[in-house]
Amino acid sequence: MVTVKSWLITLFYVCLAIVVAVGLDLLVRRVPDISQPVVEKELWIYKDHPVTQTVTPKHNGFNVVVLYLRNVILRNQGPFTFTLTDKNGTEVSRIDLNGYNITDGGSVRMQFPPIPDSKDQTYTITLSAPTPDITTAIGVGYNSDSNSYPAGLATAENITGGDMTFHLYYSPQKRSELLLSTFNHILKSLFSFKLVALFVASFATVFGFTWHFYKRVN
Amino acid sequence: MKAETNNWLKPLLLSAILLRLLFCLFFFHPDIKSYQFHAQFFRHGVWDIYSYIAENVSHLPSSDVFVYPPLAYYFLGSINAVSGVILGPDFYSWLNDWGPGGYTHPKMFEFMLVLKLPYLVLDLMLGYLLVLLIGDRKLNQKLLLFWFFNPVSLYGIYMLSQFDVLMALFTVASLILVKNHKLPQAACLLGLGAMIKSYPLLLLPFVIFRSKDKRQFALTCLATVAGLLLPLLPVLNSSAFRFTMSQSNLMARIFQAGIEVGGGQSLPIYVVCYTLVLWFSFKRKNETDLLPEFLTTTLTVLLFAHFHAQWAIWSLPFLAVVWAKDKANLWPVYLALAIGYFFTNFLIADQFVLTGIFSSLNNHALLVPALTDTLKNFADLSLVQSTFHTLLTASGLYLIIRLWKNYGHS
Repeated sequence: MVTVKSWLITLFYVCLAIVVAVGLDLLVRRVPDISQPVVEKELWIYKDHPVTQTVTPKHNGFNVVVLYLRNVILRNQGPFTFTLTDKNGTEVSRIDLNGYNITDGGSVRMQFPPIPDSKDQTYTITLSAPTPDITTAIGVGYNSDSNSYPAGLATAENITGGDMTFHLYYSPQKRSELLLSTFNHILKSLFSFKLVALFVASFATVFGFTWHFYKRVN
Repeated sequence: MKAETNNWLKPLLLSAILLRLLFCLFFFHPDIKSYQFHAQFFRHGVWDIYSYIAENVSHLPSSDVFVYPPLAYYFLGSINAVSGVILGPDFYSWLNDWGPGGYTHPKMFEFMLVLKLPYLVLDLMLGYLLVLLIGDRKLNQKLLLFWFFNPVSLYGIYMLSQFDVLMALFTVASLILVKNHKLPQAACLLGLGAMIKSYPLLLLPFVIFRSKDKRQFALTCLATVAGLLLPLLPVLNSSAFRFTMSQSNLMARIFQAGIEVGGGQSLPIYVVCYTLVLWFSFKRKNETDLLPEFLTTTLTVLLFAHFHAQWAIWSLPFLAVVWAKDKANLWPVYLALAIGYFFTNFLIADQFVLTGIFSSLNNHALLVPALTDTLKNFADLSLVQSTFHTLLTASGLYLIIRLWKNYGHS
């Protein structure tokens, strides 16, 4: 009875975790598109020193840019502007923030209405801040390796090449594709050789030791 | 008889370990990355992490500070050093990447498995100590079923990735040592525990009370000081360490909830309860079973403070013993306690109390807002949260009162 109960509870917890994890996709309004996730250092944004990055989304419905921003010891409490322009220089979105909205190193989400035909179009992200003082500048994550995102380029004073740290998202067109992609992600992550080897070795070792001790007192 | 026991024990352990290993992989909380980010400096020979952070904060990729006593740093630093050997350079790239990619690394399952494996070992050791503590083979099945499959420890240890299980192990070990009249060893363990997280300090007076003579009293005090001082030696002169320790979260929170008595005075409810337990304990100072004292001290933190979810691990081993020993059917009380605990916690405005921790399984989970953001337009969440906390408090108090009654105090 206890045997059945313990396996049933285990099965219940594992299934619950997977169902909830996959089910969260039903609440998602945006899906990752492309990214350059590496933060090697920061580029500093202040008066007359904007930083730009060109990006080319791979899906239609482009609606979010997540940036890694850093407001050191929250010194900046002034305005900060994000603009997105298309290849003709037309402003697609503009978001005005305040230093209060930016932590000392973390992700900041810029959201705008989905762009229906964004697939393979080039856009420019521009970040600017009017603060004249570099000690109150806002940092944006940057990676000097141009190969990390060959389709785009960051530009700033004294910077040639490399890319900002960014993640683009799009509004999902089909929910079923999303659920399937999560399920595939779980299976793909679970069945890597190193993970399976680590898992089996941990399981055998931990059980061996545990059984050795527990059987003596039961 | 032996074969009969093994019939249930082997599948119980197999399923409990399998479940824990899977939960190690499945869940990610940024706290484990933050601890390990600091812990990585241990392998470079940094003993005083507090001064190191204060001096280097502007060059470090994260400005988080290390808020725990030094033994926590040495413990996590040791885990980090071993994990680094198993996981390779990708692990350190991930630890130092504080961009959005830090939450969704392709090798997250591997990292989580290796980093949480020591917690699993401690958890299983704790189960073993509980079996020793209860000392009645007939109750083992009930006790272990509770310990291995209760959702609170799975949530606190594996989903939230917190290391409170280590202090819980120390407190249970000290309870056993007191039972066996080994007071100095018990006090030393509590002292060491307090150098990981401060709450075992609250349990020390109960142990010291049990001293039978002046010699044992002196030895117990000496052992306490040794337990407290040894891990402190490398940081004794650090002003950054003293500043960090003066910001104790626990101490601030247990003084928060109070009863106003006029004239600007307030009686902190937790401290009133704690003092009451001290008197009760003093009255029964010849008894060496400290279960009521340890349970009351650790559980009332949850009942009368705005708690962190992992603080539930402190009282859980003692609740497991009460569950196994009490002949009455207490499952409705425990269920109410769990419901009160989970929903008080889920209604904290933090993505990583629920949806965010699934980000290892589903990278899109980070895009789902916290439960509070979703529900705030439909209800007064403070009221709802207070209602659940009331349920938790009433159920917890019922168990505490019942336990003291069972120990002969009406």
